[in-house]
Amino acid sequence: MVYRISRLLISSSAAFVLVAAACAPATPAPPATQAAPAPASATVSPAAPPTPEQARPTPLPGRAPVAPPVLAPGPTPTPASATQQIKRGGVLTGFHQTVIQNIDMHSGSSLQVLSIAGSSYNQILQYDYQGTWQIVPDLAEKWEVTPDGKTFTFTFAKGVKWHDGVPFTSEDAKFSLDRIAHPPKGIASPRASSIDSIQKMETPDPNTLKITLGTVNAAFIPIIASGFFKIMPRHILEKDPGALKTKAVGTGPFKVIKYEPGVVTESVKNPDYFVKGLPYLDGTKFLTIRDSATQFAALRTKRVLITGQGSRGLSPQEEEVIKREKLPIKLMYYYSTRGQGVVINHTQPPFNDLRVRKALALAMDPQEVIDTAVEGQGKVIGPMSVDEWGMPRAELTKLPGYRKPSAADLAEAKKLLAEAGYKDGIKTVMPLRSFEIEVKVSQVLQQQLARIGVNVQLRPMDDAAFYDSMERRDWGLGFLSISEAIGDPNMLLLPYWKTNGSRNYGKFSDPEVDKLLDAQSAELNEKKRLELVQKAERILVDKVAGFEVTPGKYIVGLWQEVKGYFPHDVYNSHRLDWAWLDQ
Amino acid sequence: MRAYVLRRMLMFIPVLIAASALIFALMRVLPGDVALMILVGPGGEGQASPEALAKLRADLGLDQPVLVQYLSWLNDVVHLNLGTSYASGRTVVTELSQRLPITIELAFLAIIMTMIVAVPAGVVSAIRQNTRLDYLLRIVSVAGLTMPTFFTATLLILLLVTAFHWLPPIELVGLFSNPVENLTQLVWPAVMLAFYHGAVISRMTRSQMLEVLRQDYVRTAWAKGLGERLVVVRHALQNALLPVVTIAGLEFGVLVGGTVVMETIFVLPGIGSYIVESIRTRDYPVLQAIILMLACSYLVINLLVDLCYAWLDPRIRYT
Repeated sequence: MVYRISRLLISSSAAFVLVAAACAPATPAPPATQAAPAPASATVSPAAPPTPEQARPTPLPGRAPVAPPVLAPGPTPTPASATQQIKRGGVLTGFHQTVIQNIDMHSGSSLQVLSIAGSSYNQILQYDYQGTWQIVPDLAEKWEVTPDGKTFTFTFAKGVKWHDGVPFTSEDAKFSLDRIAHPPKGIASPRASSIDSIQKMETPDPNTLKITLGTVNAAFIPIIASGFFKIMPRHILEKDPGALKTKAVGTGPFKVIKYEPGVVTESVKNPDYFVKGLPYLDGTKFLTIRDSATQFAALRTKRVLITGQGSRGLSPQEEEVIKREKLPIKLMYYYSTRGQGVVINHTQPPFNDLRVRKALALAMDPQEVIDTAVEGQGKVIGPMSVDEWGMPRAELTKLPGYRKPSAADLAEAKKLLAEAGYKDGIKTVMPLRSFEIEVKVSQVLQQQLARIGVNVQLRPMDDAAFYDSMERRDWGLGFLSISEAIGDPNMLLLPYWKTNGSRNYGKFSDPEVDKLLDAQSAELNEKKRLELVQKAERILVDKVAGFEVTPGKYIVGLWQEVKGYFPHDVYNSHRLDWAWLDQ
Repeated sequence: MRAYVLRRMLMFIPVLIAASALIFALMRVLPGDVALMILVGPGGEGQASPEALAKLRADLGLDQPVLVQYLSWLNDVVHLNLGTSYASGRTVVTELSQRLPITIELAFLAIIMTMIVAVPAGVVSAIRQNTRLDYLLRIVSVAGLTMPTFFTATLLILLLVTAFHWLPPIELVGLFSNPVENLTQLVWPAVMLAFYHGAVISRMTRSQMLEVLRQDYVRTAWAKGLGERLVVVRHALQNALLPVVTIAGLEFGVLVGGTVVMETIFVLPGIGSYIVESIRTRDYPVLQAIILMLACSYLVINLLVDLCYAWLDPRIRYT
């Protein structure tokens, strides 16, 4: 009987193996080994024009982007070259890494809301899809601004319809901005303060919206061009403010036909899209995959065609695998608008003492952090973390906190601590989120500060406990890793360093900095604005308001047949209007 | 028997009330402000002004005293209203109805595979104690116990991708809409789970069988010349199964609670990952409902296990 049981055991195990093997198809042919084009590893940065491989394909009849009066610095887009014939059709596949329950564009706070439903909506304006940061038309064909910079008049395209067939009017745009600034009951609006300068909105006709600001806001146009400022349907949301938390009805090039949180989002092309000829794809499908190994496996086996789209980028090891196996996957790179930062608690000892903060700065070595924690995939940044606005790099990297500390620096740091009354060192706690990158970076910082006798106890915690701790300020140093929708000083400096800013967790306060930040916000002349921003940044560095270590560097992988898609930042790379598949 | 079942079910009520109070208190004790999480978002991209926070807390009823919140929630639960998810705005029932079937299906597949393989393995191991077969089976069971599931599952994925350039389907389809595709996706995590849980069951079966096989009545059965199948299955196994059934019931309860690791690696939107997500976002209504549901399911499973005893051992009678 034992042998019968053994045979039964072996045969049932074998049956499982056979079933499992049968569930796997016959070994598919390995990826094509023809000489694939060299991966497009050119960095897509605002300063570099697109490479030939990324050149815009011959546009089909329709609107060509118009260079508007640009308030943000950036080059003029390279004229399109007719190098490739576009193919229509196909479904673009990708993944999200987080479960998003709420895809209401105004109340959803995660940037992955954009990758789920962002292509179903339009904004008033948008960033050029080639990643040049040029602001180009979207729903608005053109706009004018009065010389005092306070009144904007947007003229909308005609013939725009919502996905349910109802015509779009300027009332929808007015309603949407009002909803962001003053959300109804039951709707949270994380970006309300971004447009609190709006004083009045008027709709003289169905295609015109006039916005009057109470105070000049130099970032107003960049802000409303950013991904989250979608225009949503008044005729639906006035009746039920929560109607679009689990579905999307927009004017965009794609219609969401299936949205299962944590499972899949499927979209099909909008045949009535107001930009004739677009989109090229038949649809998109994004799966939710949380495990990083499974994400990469899905890319390698072509279950998905792209990474990125607001999700995590590839790791350097995965990049290495792609290059080593010569997979026909293009690699593209960009930096996030902000990155890892050390927040200092300015409200209590010891770090409310400038001498102590200067001592920290003398011990910090951000390049060592970059080399150790992120394998060189980063760059040294200042409080103004975007190159276009920050002080010259040559100047920044000579300053304490941004250069390699010498022995004299460390000795000076210890002397400053002794003068401040901390000859025996300092013990402090640093809360951080328990993401791998944050833990790695903060561990290197911990070691650096230990060299001068500052003992930092790291306290990893989940998101909710972390933000709670940051609000309570029961720490001396905090670790904050975050990105912002646009690389504008109003988003990267004001919330973090202005007195009582919404993200000024450390409660840093300096009247001169406040004055400069307010002045730059109201300055329409780019050159003058840049001067004011850099002046504020110098004070922040001099007063050691906090430390920025490195922005996140995203490596995006796209199978070579994906064309016309140029991810350039986490918030404005979800639009797939011009993407196509060369299949 | 009927009276016994009824008595047991009546005992559910105080247990569930105590569980509900404990769950509610635990949720409120956890650090983290749910209103702040909703506004700021998991990545911290949102901004939360004090006015927006106050408004949201009022909208969600979080500005009420804790006791008022608890009684209000309890009242809703009694009326079978499990509340609305803070994160999605959908009812908790809607959310659970989408996730629970996946978890239950996976749990059933895993437990069936476990019992089919692990019980015979334990029996064979006991009958052929200290032979090469016994050692082999014990090595396999120790491997199953000691290797964490996230490790074995990730290894499996790597093996499939590297050796076969293939990944199991990652888009879930319903069992009734496409059974083949559905099982193709679920068989892999079920096998991984069976590897771990089977190790537990097989070791328990082996140790129970060894104890029973040494009993006088079994020796008498051998002495009477009864066949091996009769002695092992009819006399020994039936008595050895009682604790095994208990363990199997507990294992099934654990599986119903959701296996976060398998769901994450194999892209299954089940209860386990939903619990973790809800903890992360402090989605109180969802967490309270799920934990209450799990408490209830454990009570039911324990009751069924106790009833199984009566079926397995005729000497046991419930009155």
